[in-house]
Amino acid sequence: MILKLAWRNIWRSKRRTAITLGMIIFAVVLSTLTMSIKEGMYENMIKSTAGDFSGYAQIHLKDFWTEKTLDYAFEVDEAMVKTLDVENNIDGYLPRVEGFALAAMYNITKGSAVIGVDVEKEKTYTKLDERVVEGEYLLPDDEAILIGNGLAKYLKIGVNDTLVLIGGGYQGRSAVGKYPIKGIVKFGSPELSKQLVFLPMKAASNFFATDGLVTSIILKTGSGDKGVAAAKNLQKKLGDDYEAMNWKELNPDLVNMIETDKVEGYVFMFILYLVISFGIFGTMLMMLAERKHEFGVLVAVGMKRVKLALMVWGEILILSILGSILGLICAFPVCYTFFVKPVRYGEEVAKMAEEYGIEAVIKTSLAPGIFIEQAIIVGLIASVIAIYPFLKLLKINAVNEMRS
Amino acid sequence: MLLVKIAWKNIWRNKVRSFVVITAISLGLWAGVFGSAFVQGMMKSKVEDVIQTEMSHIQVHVPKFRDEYDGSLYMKNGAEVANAFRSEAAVEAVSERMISMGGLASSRKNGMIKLVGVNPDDEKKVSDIYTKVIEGSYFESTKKRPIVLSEKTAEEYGVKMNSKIIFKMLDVEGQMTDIAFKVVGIYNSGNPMYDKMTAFVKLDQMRQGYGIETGSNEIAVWLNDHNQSEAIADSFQENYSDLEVLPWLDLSPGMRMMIEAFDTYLFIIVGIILVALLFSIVNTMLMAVLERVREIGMLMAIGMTKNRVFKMIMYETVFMTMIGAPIGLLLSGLTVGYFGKNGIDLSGAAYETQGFGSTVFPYLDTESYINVTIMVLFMAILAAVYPALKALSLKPVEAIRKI
Repeated sequence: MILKLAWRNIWRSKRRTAITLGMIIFAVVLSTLTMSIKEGMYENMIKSTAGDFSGYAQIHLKDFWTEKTLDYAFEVDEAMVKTLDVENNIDGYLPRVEGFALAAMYNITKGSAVIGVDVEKEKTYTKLDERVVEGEYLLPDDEAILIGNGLAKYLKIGVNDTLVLIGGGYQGRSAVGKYPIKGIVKFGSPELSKQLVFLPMKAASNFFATDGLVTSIILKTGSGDKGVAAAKNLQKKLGDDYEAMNWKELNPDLVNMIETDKVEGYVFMFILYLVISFGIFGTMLMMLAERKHEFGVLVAVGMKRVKLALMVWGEILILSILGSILGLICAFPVCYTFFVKPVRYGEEVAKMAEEYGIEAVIKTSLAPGIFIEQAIIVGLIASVIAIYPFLKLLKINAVNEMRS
Repeated sequence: MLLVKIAWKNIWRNKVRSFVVITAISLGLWAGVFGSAFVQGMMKSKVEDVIQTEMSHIQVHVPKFRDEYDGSLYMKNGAEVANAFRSEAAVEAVSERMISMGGLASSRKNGMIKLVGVNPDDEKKVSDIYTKVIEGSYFESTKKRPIVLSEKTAEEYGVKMNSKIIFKMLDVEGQMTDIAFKVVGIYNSGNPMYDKMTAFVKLDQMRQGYGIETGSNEIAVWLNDHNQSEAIADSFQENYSDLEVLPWLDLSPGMRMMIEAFDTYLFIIVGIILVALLFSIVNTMLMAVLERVREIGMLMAIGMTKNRVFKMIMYETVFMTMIGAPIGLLLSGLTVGYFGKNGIDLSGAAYETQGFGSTVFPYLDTESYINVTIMVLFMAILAAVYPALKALSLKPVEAIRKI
């Protein structure tokens, strides 16, 4: 009965309903947009630091990641291939053999990370070939290397020069080799670009004497979340001899940075919620003032105050739920617009960000969690604020109200 | 004048309505100012952290030294340049450094590191890294060849206090030399990138490694006032045209990027708050106007022109803005002042490990203060236009008939 009354009241005054609904819808859209921008920034950061090159998940022999020596090389056997093939979360996988060597040219030497890669697979999944800024991409049978642009600059060498690599190979063997530089690859992160040397898998296998073993398998997944899921599944299937790590475990510094930033975001969200809450509160206050006469009459003809208060509370509750749902629906196209057409940073910043390999845009995230979370939060805020009119109506005086 | 009077009286006639609008404006103004102050304060403390720990205000090098840390590019007259800075009134402290980018080796790992030779007493005045030593001390040990390295490096190389670690470097002639150091201190600056790459030894031992007696390849300068960094750097650059004198802002390209990216972010944040404010004022004003349909209809029926009704509503908004704005400003001034002194504690997050203090001190410069205030006031008045126009579309007779 009360609910019915509340429902009818909502439709009786369409203007008032529209304004209150509008306020709630708008609040949901704004808070969702803000959150979506933040999340989008993180996604962008994760993608450019973790996703693109090192993958959202990796498999190694246990303890490789802390020790990082070639002695933790393993064979990609049939059982492993089978396990990887049935894992739904991954789009593909790339074997790599990663070691350390000194790169020497005349009298300059530089410590560098030598990575043996499956040339064809890298092309498909990490687009390594598109990073070549000078020279050419590798062929599977090449006895040649690609080096990072930072390293090339440091050693003052270019395409067709020959680089000497001296390092440690598998199980204490020494690894020495002389390779022509076939191409120079550009990496955003200065740290990566100053130390990367790529060899085709076959040549790397000879260089490190690993005989086809690999140190890591990079899992290519569509998103960070899928990487986490894939790592979890594979860890279970592969057992304790292996470590399946997700991007969070691979990049603890990045996770740390994002967590820090999130807390700062909460403070801002708090301010925004405050403004929104007051907007909703204001609307309710006006509603109370406007309906004084009506409430007075209802109490005068014998409606219990509790029932009256419940009725108004019900109205607001219905409006909150309705507004949240509508807000959710309205927020999507707004966020989608910024997802498709991201806001670009100013020219100077954009240039620098791209130097670092970060996409210089503010792009929204379309993760459904954000939308639902914000709709629920705003809905809750509105229902909590509704306590005020509820309390107010419990103490209503019929005569005074009608007189005004 | 009459209109102004009517408007003023209207405000006090319906107190609830005016209270809602005035509060909306002051709250909006507060949110705008406080939000910006929070972001700016955060930014400022991050920048200051980087300056205090890593950069100092000005650094002097031989041009191109920073590209590859080429040992032969050092200032033979380092002491003289350092003294020239010391004699400047605006300069508080100067530290000479000798840096080498070389190989670090322990039984566990071989890698690259930037080893910085410092004179501890001078260095303490230009960098607060000594306050971030978590184990051992900052060169207070009597060990013969002390090294202070980061917790991260210690973990990576598997070394502890008093462990030996070998540094391989090229001297000024390009000859390779090995020096063995003993770990006397372990620090954690909070910036993992910096920590991974940097370790400290004593200046004269680094000079020995290079095979020189005097000179330095980096001079760090600390000023009384960091706003003067650019001006002082410029004036020294003129005197020492063969050196590279850079203020902190130009020392790292990432710094400018970070600051500008923050500006963009701030712009978006203030934008969102302003839009939220706009909507809440439009809403309240709309309710307020539509509630007064009968009253406005009556005014029109007795001959008040539409133009005047519009003006009256606008005057009301202006008055309410004029009351709300000082309240909002006062509120912002108090909160920014209070938290600016006491800080907002955000610990519990991943903060500490990031090294940036876990407390944010909101801060807003006068210019932004004025900008935000003007924008909020403009928004408030703009928000009244639509409801006022809506009031004009009323037809007097219908309006009166409505209850």
